[in-house]
Amino acid sequence: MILGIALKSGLLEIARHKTRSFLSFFAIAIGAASFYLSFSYMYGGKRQMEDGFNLAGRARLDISRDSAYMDRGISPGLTYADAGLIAKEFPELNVISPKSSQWARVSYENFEAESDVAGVLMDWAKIGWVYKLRGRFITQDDIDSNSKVCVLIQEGGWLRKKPAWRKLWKYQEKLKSFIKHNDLLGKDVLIGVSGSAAMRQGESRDRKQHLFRVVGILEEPPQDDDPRWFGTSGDEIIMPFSTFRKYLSGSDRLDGITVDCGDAKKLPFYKTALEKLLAARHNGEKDFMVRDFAEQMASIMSRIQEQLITIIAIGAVALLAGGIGIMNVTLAIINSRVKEIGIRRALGARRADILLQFVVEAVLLGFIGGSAGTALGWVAVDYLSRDEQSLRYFAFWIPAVSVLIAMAVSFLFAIVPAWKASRLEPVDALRYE
Amino acid sequence: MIKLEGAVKIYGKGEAAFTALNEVSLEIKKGAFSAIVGPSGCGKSTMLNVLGLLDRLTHGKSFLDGHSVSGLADSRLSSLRLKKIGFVFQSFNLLPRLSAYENVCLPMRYGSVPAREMKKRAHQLLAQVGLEGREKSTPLELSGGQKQRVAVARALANRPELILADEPTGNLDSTSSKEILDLLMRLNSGGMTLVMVTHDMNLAALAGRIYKMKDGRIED
Repeated sequence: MILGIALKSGLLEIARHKTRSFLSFFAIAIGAASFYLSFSYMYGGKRQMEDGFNLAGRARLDISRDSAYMDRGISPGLTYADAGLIAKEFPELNVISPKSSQWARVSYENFEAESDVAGVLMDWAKIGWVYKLRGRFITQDDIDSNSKVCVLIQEGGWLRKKPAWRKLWKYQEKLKSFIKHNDLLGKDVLIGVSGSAAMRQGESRDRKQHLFRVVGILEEPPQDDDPRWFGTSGDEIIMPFSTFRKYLSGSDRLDGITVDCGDAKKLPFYKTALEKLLAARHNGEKDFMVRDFAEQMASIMSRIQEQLITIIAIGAVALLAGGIGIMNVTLAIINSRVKEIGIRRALGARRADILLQFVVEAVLLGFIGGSAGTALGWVAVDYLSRDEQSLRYFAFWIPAVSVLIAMAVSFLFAIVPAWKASRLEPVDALRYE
Repeated sequence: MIKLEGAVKIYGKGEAAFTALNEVSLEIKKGAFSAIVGPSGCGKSTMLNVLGLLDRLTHGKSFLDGHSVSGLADSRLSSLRLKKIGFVFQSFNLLPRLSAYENVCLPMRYGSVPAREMKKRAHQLLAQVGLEGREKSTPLELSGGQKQRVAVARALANRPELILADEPTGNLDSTSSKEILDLLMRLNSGGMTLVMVTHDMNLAALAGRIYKMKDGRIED
């Protein structure tokens, strides 16, 4: 019942001091909105990552070249033979997908572009498949016979309206865009070593373009509905690894090997075993990295958290300003109601009742400001989520915690003035005019 | 009901010290109607504040229902005010934002009276003071006499044994003054102890016992 009185008085005080209350609401609201946004990013990022990993396989190990390693000519590096060795030593592994990619010159009629071509095995299709396939994917026959076939990746476009700011983003993969408007399925395209790749590999590289038959088109999911937390792979053309080696790279070198152990519990075992196996093959050189799901998740989460510190800091400063505003409002309210405190005390109110009265009023301010801020955050998240998929995940605790933080800040800043009000002597308060 | 023994109340310290009550002793019996009279600044209001447990004595002892209240904690004093004492002030002291009904309910809310009982009692009290149908009116919408009647109803809300009235007719016209006085007299006739501070000797003459005060002392 006392709470009821306090709530009513609080609403009346807010109505009486509109400007002052608005300023406090505003700061509290900005703080709550920042927290809402941060929590949404954090939660959504984590959920998206988990969904992405579920899609790609939680029992996945990624073996990659260690970019920090200085080649001393001791190790052969990560090669196709490593993948073969892994398959031989661990035949029980579900997926062993080696991959090598490089820039290539692609031509079709008058169109010409530099594109990213990847040489893969059939297992590539078993990792994070999100595509709509037209035609067919590469087959074992293609791999065995070095067939001059390829599969093109076409961009998925946008499910919703393309966000305005993304229109400023001029960069677009030229080939993906071309494929979208020109059906190349069943057509022959010219692919050859690009100028830059040839320079790296030495001018002796054959820069001649070869005709490849487009046997399939992989349509990516819409950009605003792509379940891959890691975004697009960057590949634009997929071809059998053997073909890629023969006509483009000319070597066994790999960018990475993806392995699926079938069971996330077996990850530690395979991680150690693969590290040992590869280290022995690489003459003891640690020129590769074996990373599992948990490691990648932790590393990405820590990156997300670093980015969020700024948003949280802005929110905290806004809440601090809001808290000072609440303190100011509470002090002003108390000063204008000293006589009322005396009357209430004469009627039998205890100090605790007076304390509660003003704290409840301040927390009410925090609740209204926090709710407004949370609504603002929700609108911001709704807008940003058109492009930022991680913001499409929602949990009830996000608005609840945002409002609670605003209320807690209001409580902390109101407690001292309210405590002082409760310490007023009834007879002094009654005399106050 | 209430007793003061050698009550001294000094405000301020050193040269600025002012003795509002100086060795005052009195005893007010249960059911009595007492008036405290005297010129401005003689200590009448201080006496009422001390009797109403709103202020503490500097020296001396005060008793309520035979129990010493001099050293009680603030929460205990609040509880005694809530249950045993009702105040009627010269300037009414109603909360302007609350309706007549809510003003009457306020002490009951602090006393945790159940909602149904509180509603019933508030309506009964407002009817008793002749304000039936004005429950929703705020103090701004009431006349001085009506405000004081709400204040009396509020003072009676927790069924106290003692009513302390500080110049209850001081801000009222003669008709309203008579109505309020009749109301207080009726309550006293019903057994309620009544202590009234006034400077009007005609009003004081209605009391069973008159305490004349001067310079913080009770004159014989």
